[in-house]
Amino acid sequence: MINEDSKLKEKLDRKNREIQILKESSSIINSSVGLDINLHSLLKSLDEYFLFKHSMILLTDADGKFLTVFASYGYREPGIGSKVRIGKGKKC
Amino acid sequence: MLNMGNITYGLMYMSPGKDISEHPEYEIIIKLPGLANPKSQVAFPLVVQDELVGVISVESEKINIFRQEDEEIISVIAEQAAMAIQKSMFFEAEAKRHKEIHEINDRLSNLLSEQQKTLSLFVKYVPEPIVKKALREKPESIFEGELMEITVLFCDIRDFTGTSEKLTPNEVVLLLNAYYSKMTKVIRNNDGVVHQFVGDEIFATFGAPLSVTNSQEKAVYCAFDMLNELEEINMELKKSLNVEIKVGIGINYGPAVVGNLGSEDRIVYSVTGDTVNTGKRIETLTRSCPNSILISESVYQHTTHLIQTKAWDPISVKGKSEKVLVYEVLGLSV
Repeated sequence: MINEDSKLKEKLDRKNREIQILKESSSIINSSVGLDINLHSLLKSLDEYFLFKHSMILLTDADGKFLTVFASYGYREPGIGSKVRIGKGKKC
Repeated sequence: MLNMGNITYGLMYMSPGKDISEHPEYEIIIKLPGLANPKSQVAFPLVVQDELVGVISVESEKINIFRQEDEEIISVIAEQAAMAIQKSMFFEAEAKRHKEIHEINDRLSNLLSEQQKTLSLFVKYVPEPIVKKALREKPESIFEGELMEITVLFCDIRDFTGTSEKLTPNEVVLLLNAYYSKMTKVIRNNDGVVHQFVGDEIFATFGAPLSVTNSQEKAVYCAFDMLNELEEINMELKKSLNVEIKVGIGINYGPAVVGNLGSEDRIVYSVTGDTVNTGKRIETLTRSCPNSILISESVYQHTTHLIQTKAWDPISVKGKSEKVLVYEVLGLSV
């Protein structure tokens, strides 16, 4: 019973956080600050509500060949402006 | 969407600092951010109007950290990010359009200002109504003539040769410039257009290039105003050059061919026909009667109710087989 309560509480807590992040992200995209600040704020909200501590947003270049880091969160070096060719990864 | 939960055995989607150094066109190599040893990665495309505009990537050092509900919330944030990008693209496009419109406006203003300057200069050589009419016409119709009912006015300085002999060339130019500029103003104020200054003669029309109502009346009123203006001019000339000038004015009304004559290199707006020739002949009759206004029968018929006149005996004029009736205008009707 206690276990079930705990699961329900956890579920409720998650739903609350989902609502909170939705509210916050809506408010972020409606703000009039620059795109870089808005995207960084979205990444920050992922950490604040769901503890996703490392994230980044990359945008495609005009020619569509590269992705450029436009916002990053949680990294020692933000790497804004760094590029990666679309379709390239690394086998480990 | 891409979700990799145990990257050690799979494919690392994002990995720090590589790839770009293969491209010499990028002078400044920025290290790609990323965990040194990621175990879980999830990535979602950012799509605006069916077009890929970017990617959101989230990673962790823990294995299999991203559950389905995490993917869902990251996908929601991806959509929000796409909306923010779309909004930014829209504002960027608007700002660009706004800037372009501003630039076009500036260019147009400069062009208009240049055109205005050119026009201001041009109307010193060609009467403004003629310039404006030419601007309205299509290039192919620029040489088309038309028959118009117009009133012509000729005004000549009597014995100008004798007057100019008493003056230096500079003084002659000063005298003529003062005379022309004041008379032109009077003619313009009466809806007339100065066509030519030939020597000391002014040739003006009323009703061409743009038709005006009661052109005969306007020309006669203009002649009175010119004689009044002459008194003012003479007062100044008496003071400055110790000379006086006298004029004779002849006015005729009738049909005339008006239009641009010449070649593509040089165009002259011209008014030709018997009405013009007779008008000139009538003006020459004033030689015997300085500071007078002589009008033709056709002008008299339209203005008799306004003026007092004295009919001259019918006179033979050059180029006319029949004698013409002319009237000396004595003043306005009381």
